[in-house]
Amino acid sequence: MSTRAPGIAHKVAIALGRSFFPLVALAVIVGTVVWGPWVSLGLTLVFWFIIDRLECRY
Amino acid sequence: MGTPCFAPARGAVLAHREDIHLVIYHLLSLLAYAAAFWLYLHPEVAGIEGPWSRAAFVGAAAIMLGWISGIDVGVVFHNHTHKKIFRYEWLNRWFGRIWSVSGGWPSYYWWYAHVIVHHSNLLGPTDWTLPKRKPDGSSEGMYRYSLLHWPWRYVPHLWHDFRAGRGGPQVRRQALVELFYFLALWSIPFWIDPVMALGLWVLPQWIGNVLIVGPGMYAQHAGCVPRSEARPFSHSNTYVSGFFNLTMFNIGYHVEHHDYPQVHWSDLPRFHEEMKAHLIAKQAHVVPFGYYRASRLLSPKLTHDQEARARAEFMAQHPDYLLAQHPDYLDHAEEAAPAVLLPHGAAR
Repeated sequence: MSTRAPGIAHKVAIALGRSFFPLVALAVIVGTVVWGPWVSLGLTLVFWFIIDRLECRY
Repeated sequence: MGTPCFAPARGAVLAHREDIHLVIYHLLSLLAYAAAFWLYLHPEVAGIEGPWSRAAFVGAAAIMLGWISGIDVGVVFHNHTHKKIFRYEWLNRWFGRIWSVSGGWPSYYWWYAHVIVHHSNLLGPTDWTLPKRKPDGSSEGMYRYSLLHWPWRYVPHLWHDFRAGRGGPQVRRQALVELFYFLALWSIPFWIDPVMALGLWVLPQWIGNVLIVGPGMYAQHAGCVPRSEARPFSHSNTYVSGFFNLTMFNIGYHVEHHDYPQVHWSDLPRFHEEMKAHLIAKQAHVVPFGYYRASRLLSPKLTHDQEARARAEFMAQHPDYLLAQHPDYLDHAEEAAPAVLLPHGAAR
């Protein structure tokens, strides 16, 4: 079990990483139902800014 | 039923198990489009109460849809054009058709532009997919290239090539057939609501091609020169940001991709490690960030000083890839990257 867990965690992380952008897009679009269109627009602009920083650090 | 592309394992549909991530990416992208369309058509559910809040929703959705569509066609579908993801040709053809349509491309046209024009003539005079070169050898600016390449340059070039039969006599007929399928699929949102189609279909495709694919293509070969014996890896830049390559299906390993396009996208990080000594010895340009940072560095600046600093950061070699740090790698300088490096017996 102890050797299997990191393997599964790694696979899940890889799967989430590769689907990261469409998952965020879905969250922003569907999330409009919860927080409204103006917050979605704000989140989109913040996300654009964050990505540039993320790929420099990691 | 078509014939299998390769000898298939019983029950297997995918040619490579990692390709399931490409399929998931595209299906999630289509789901995002469907969600945006549905909310646009049911504004009361999303708190859209007037033209301004509708504009805010369309703005947010179009940016996100454009972003993922640019990656979907320029990276995810791109992998399929080099190595078909299914074992059945009819499935490759039809999944390809529904794959690139949300990126504003007929699949065959994108394959033609990328494989026949770009890969076969990399940085050569007939590679019209890349930025134009000025008489002094420098490239046009990133903004100009990104704004003009899709669809304004692609359409006349494709028209000319298809009419001339570049790539073979079957090209013209195939182009017509694929244009028919593309228009049939691409027009679907217009039949539902033409205004919605402009805001949540055409606008995202413009954003995807102009703001995502354009700068990406520019960054892949910025500051590069055609390959030569002295500089065999100078045709592309390699980006090794872990976050970037995780979320972009390893497209950052671009030197490796151009020299060995048949290496599966999921094998590129391992392949990169195997080639590392050769890349360092022959001074391939390797940078620690990804295309987003590169695009910012390559975009026009207000002053010459800012421009010079940005260029210097872009051109600076990744510290781990400086030849001075690895004098022992000089042994590799005279060797060609051997074919035995290729994983799974892939052909160069």
